[in-house]
Amino acid sequence: MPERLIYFDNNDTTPMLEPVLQAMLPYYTEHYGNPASLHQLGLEAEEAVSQARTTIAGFLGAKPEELIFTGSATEANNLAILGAAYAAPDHKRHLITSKIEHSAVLNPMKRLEKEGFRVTYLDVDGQGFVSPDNLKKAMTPETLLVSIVHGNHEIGTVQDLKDLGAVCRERGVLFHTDAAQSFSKVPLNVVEDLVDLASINAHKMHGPKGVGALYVRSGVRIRKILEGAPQENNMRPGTENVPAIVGFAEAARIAFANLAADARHMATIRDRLIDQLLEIPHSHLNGPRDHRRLPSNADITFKYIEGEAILMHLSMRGVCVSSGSACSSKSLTPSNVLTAIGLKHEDAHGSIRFSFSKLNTAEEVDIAAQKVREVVELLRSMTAFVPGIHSETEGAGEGFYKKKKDEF
Amino acid sequence: MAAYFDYIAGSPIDPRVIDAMLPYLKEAYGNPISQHKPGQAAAMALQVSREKVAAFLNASPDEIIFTSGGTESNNLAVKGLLTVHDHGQLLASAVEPHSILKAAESLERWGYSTSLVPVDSNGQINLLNINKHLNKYTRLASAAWVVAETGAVQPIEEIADIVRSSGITFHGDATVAARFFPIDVRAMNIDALTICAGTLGGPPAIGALYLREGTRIQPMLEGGPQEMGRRSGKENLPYIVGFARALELAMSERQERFKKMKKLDLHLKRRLSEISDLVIHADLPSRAPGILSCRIDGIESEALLMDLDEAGIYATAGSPCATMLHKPSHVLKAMGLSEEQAASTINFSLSWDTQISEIDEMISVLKPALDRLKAISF
Repeated sequence: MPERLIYFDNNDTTPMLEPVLQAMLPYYTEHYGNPASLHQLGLEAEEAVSQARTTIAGFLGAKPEELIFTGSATEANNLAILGAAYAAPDHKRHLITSKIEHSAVLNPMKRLEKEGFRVTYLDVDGQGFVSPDNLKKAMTPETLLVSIVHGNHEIGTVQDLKDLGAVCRERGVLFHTDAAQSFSKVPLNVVEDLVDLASINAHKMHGPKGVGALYVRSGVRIRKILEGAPQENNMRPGTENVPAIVGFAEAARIAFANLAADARHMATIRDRLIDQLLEIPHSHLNGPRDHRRLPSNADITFKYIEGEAILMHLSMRGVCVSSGSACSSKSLTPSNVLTAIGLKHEDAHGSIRFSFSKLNTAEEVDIAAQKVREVVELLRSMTAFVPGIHSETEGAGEGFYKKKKDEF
Repeated sequence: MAAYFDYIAGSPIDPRVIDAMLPYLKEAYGNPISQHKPGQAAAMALQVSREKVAAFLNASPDEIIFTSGGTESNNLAVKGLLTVHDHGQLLASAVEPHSILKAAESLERWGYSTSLVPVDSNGQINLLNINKHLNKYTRLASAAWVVAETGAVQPIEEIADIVRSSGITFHGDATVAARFFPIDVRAMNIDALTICAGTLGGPPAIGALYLREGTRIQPMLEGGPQEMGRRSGKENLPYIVGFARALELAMSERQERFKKMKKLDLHLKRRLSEISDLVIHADLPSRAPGILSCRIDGIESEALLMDLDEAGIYATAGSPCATMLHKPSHVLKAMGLSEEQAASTINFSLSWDTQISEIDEMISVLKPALDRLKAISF
C-alpha cells in the first residue's frame, strides 16, 4: 500500500482548503454573471468581487480601491515593474532590485534593460538581507522604482520593508515588494511598511491558482500592460475570474483568522526539521535562523551530493521537496539566490528546500527527517569523495570533488 | 421564472467540466515543473490537456500557449507579433473587440501604427477593403471570426488567404466562433488564433493562443519558464483541465448544439417579429445562431432592460465594455448606427440549453414593457 505523501513544497503551491472550494463552487454554477452586466446576475457577481476586494485589501492595510486583481503574482510583478517604468517621466530611467529576486521580477527588469533602462542588482549579505545603506548608495536622481522581495522564495529571508521603504519614500522613489511568499505568513502592512506596490497571490495560502493581486497606493501612477475593457479601475482588463477571486478572499479570511497560531505552528515544525537535519554531517542552513525567516521555509545544503538526486530519492520515499527555485528547476544553472548569498556552485546544487503549510505535522517532520538521513547516507556512499568517509580533512575532499566536476 | 440571455458575457460551467476540474481543485498537484510525484502528475495533466486543446484546433501541442483568457490572448497576439518587428503597421477592422483596438492604441505609443478597415452596415469586412488597406508597412492583421455583439460572421478564411499571400502574419479571434464552427488551423492558413473556455461551457479566465510553429513572438508576462518561456506565471491547472474538457465536449456535441441554437434562434426571431418597429441587426443568413442584436427605435434600452430585470429576464444593452464605459457600442457605430439607435439596442445571447419557454416568457414580459415605455414617451 502506498504511504501517504508528505508534501513539503508549500512555498511552491499549497492544496486548496475545502471551505475555499465550497465558497467558489456556486460562482461556477449559479452566480455566473459577468460583473460588467447590469442585470441581477451581473450585480451579484460585481458585489462578490467588491466584497473580496475589501476583505483582501483590509488584510494588507490597504483601501479596497488600491487593489487590482490579476491572473497571477507573476502578472502583478510585471504590471508593477513595467507599469511603473512606462509611466515614469522620461528622465527617470533607473531601477533597483536585488540579486535574490524571483524570475518574475528579474525577467521584467532584464526586459527593461533591453529597452534602454538601467537596472542595479543589489548584493545581499550571507543571510540574504539587503542593506538600506547599499540601497541608499545605489539611488540616483534617475531612479524610479525599487523592487525588493519581502519573503524570499528559496531561503526564507524576510526583509525589513520599513527600513528599505523609508529610503525610497525619502527620495520620492516608488517601492515595490513581491509579497507572494510572505502574505498571510508574516505581518505586512502597506502603510506602516512604506510600500507603494505589493504583489500577492492566492495559491500559496490554500487558495485557488490563476488569481493574484497588485496593491497600488492611491496616487501612484502606473501604466497597464494588458489592454481591453476598463475592469479593475481600468488597470487590468478581462472578465474577472469571479470564483477564484471569491476563493482568494475566503482563503485570506481563513489564513488571517489564525495567523499568529498558524505561523507559530509552522515555525515549530520548521525548527524541528532544521534541528534534525543539521545533525547530518556537512549540512548547513541557508538564510537566517531567527524571527526574520519565513515560518514556512527551511533550505538546507547537503554537501558533496546533488540536490536533484536527493529530490528524486525522497520522492520515491513519498516526500515532496524542491531543489533550487521550483521555477528554474528545469534549468541546470545554479539558483541565483544561493549564489548571491555566497554558495559555491556545487553547494548550490546540493541544496534542498523544505516548505511547510499549517497542515503539516511534527510527525511528518520526523518521518521526513529520517528519510532525508537515509537518502543522504545512500548518496554519499555512492559519491566519489566525502570528507570523514574517504579522508579526515574537509579541504582535501572539496578539492577532489571540484576536480571531479571539472572533468565533465 | 428567471430567464438568462447573456451567455456570451457569462455562462455557467457544464457539470461535466466541473467534475473534471474537481480533483485538481482539491489536490495541490504541485508545480508541473517540479520533479516530485505531484509535480509529475501535474505535468502529465498539463500535457494531456494541451494535446486536447491542440486537437480541437488541429494544431500540435507545442503550438498552444495557455493564458488567462481571450483578453490576454488577444493582447499577446497583437503586441507580441508586431513588436518582434522594429516598426510596422497592424491591420484590423473597426468592429474588433477592445482587447485588440486598445492594444493597437498602446502600440502607437511605441511607434507602431494601425490601419482600421471599415465594415459594411452588417458589420462585415469587405475583402476588397483588405487589399486596399494592405501596404508595405503592414506586418500583422487581426480579425475576429464572429462579432460577439451581433453574431456577424467574417470571411475569415478569405481574409487569412489574402493577408498571408502578401507575407503578412495573420491572427484570428475565435473566442465566439469556437461555439459554432469546427476549427482547423492547418487548413485555415493562419498564424495565431485566440480561443477561450468561457464561451464553451468551461471556466472563466482561461484561454489559449495558438501560435504556428516557428512564429516569433515577444512574450508579455515574463518570469518563470512556463509555456516554453512565451507566457510566465503559475499554470492554472484546474482551469486548464476544465478548458480541455469543455473543448472535448464542444467537439463531440458541436452539431447537436448548433442545431439546438439554430432552432432557438428561429423561435426567438419569430417571436421578436411580433413586435412592430423591431429591427434585427446584421441579420444575414450566416449570422451565428443564438446571438441576436436588435433595436426598437424611440425606446431607451436601459429602461427596457430594467423592466426585464425586475421580471427576472436578463439581457444586455451592449458589450460588457460598452456597458462599463457608458458609451454606445463601437461595433454599432462602425455599422453606421446613430447614437440614438445604439441606445435603443438590446442584445440576446442564448445557450444550447436555453428553453423555448424561456424565450416565450421573455416575450410575454417584453411586450407590455414596451407598451408602457411607448406610452410614457408620447
